[in-house]
Amino acid sequence: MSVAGWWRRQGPWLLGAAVLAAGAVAGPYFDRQREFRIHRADAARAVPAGAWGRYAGAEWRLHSVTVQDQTLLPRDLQLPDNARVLLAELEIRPDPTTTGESNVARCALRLRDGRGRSWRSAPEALVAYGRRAGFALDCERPRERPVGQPYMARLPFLLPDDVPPAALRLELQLFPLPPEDVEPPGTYLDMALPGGR
Amino acid sequence: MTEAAPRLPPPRWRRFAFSMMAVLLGASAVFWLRRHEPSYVERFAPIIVRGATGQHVPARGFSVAIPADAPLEAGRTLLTPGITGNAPPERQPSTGLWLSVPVRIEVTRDPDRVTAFLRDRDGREYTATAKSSAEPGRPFDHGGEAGRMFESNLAGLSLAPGFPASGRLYFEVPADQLEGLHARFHLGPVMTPNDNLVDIDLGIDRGRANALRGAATPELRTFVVRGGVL
Repeated sequence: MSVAGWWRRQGPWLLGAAVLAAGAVAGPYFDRQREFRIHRADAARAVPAGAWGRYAGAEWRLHSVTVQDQTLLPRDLQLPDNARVLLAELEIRPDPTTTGESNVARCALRLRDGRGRSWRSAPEALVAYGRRAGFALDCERPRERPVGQPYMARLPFLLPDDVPPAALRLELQLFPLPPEDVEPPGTYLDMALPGGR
Repeated sequence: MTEAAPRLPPPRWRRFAFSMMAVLLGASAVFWLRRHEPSYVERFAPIIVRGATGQHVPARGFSVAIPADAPLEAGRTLLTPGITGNAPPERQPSTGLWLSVPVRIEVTRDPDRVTAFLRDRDGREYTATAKSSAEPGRPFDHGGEAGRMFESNLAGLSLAPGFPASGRLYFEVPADQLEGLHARFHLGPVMTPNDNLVDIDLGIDRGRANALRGAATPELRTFVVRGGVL
């Protein structure tokens, strides 16, 4: 039995086994890569301070983030002693399409500091106060604003007073996530604050 | 000089036996690996972070402490806030005991809720009774007592980094299962695979269990009323 004859007979089987082995490794690898993309760091779409960012059928611009004067807050607001209310003003220009108008309402905003900690907009502690003060709970278009026009959403945040606003960035994502044909999985806007990092 | 005899191929039965041996060894290896691989439950089991009362126990995304200087309390009936400030508190009598556990909880990354339960020596688990929906500082005026009402119950409370919450958790447990209870905590309403699970031994031995049963109050309140600020 010659060596050349052995390779001729076994070659196709070996090739088939190699293809199956490669598939067995590559299949799960690409599956995991797809899962990983949802949480990858580069899913963030960075937006410089004061610039417009395009996301989910609309354009978004962080106009300002201001610290609310403690003395102007209602006295019956039961907040922790170290709490500070920040107000983010977000300018929104939805595309004049159904997708643009319907997506913007379900925005979820977070302020994140350099240590990875985050705070959601309109937390439970501020819902009652936010309603009285006319702040938004989400990015929905105010009823009095005509469709097709840009508008401003003012959203309150509650942060500890040891977090300087300059150390923050605003993260904007839709919840639930937009479909894959609108945005790649997990994409969100990572907006620098005016005068921030 | 004699000519070397040509090497004959091994007999067919030896080649067959060798191949069979190789196949059997391979099959045994696969069988052994399958038998010894971690089960589904083992692979996704929580990572347990152990602690004791009086210790600050940091875990992934949150930290918990059961202060050693605040006592465990027990009661026969749990009193929670009524529907309105003038309504009588709601009563939840128990055939066992209500156990009140002091805690200090903080989330360290993202806003979330912390789920708590007790685990007894037999592995049975008791969830913390949910916090009422009464807003903190709601007026209270009932039974000659007036003021503003504050819930001490932290179960299901929405937490944010930088704002640690101190209060109590209330569990209904059989009166004969106090000994050896552990308090367990995880982030969010459900555990995700390989989540951190904080496990704190409450340090209840037989003597302390007897003392708790003996000192159980008829009524255990989840709220306090601070008067004079209406």
